[in-house]
Amino acid sequence: MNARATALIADDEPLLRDALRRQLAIVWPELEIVAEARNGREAVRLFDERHPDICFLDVHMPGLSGVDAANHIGRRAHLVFVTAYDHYAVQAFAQGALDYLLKPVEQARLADTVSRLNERLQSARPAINTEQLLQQLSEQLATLHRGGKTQALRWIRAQAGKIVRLIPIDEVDYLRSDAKYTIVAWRDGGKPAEAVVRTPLKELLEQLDAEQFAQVHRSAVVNLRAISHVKRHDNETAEIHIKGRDDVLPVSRTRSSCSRFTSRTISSVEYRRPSRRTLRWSSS
Amino acid sequence: MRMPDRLQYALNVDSSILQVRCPPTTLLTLVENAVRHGIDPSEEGGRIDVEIARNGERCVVRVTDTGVGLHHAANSPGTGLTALGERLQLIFGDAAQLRMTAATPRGTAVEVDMPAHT
Repeated sequence: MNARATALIADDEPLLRDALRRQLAIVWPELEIVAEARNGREAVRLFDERHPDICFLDVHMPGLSGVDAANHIGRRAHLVFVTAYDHYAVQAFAQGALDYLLKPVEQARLADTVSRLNERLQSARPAINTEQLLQQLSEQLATLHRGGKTQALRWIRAQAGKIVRLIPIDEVDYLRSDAKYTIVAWRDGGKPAEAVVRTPLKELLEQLDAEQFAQVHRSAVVNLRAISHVKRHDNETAEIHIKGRDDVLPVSRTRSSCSRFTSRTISSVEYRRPSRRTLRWSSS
Repeated sequence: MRMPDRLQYALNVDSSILQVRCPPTTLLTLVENAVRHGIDPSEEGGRIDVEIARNGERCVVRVTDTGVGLHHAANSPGTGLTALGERLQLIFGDAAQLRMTAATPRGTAVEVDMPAHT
């Protein structure tokens, strides 16, 4: 990649945009700032117009925040969050940010960021795959939004490094949400494997066959066929043990009615809307 | 200024009232609130008008912004305004009032109505 790297700066404070631009001109003179945005909405619009390689995003911006803008941009650019508050760091990295700068930005720290960015740009991660993935996800979203029942999901597309895997839904043991991601625990030729997808758990759940998958916890959906046994706790919660795995899934109190499946044929039970009424566990 | 492109302001102060004693940081609280909750969350920014006028034996301090308005914020006043209200109550008793209303066409107006002691 010989063309000059391009960047977008988004900050609602013009003084800080100028300061960052000046600092970048010193530590990375080759970088071309192709756009400056005053808020998240502008950042998204200018990103779509100019497709910069790098986006420096202020977190706190009026209207659409930096995090919202990052959600839109996804992995199509290298993201660096710039903010006055360090408690956004975790969220920033969950968003796939390459780096996180605290205001006021120190020159030495920025130089560090720049070398990381250069490294990343040189390794030139394939943008095509991710574009495709995003496209597929947005198509899924669109189908969902058109309303009505869609076909139950048959495959989950998960990305591991540069590879996009197609995971057959039947081979999924369970799904767990983890911040912005969903962890897919599945069987890779019988062996337990894990993959991470960017689709939120809630969105995946809507596309799953309710006969086969049950939400047992706010952050966990389990394939009923993968359950080895359920262990009950005194406070109306329980934990689910998965066949051939050491993993244990929590069952929350409000969903403990799901635990009916211990004493009944799985297919005969309606799991989609577990009744609020707490069902007592019976040994029969 | 932090947001020169998004914030305009105007002062309209009755010069005859400059001698009136005002509890410290009253005006600061009102303006700070207008910036933080009115102008800052608004993409296009807005304008803050500070009006201080005498009304007979009373002094009325009014800060109006054209920001995002009340519906964006919590329904009850936050820490700043609550504390200001309590301080006014301690100093003036029931003789002072703090009012927050929606401005038209948008934004928020906050008014402190207190005795004009010199």
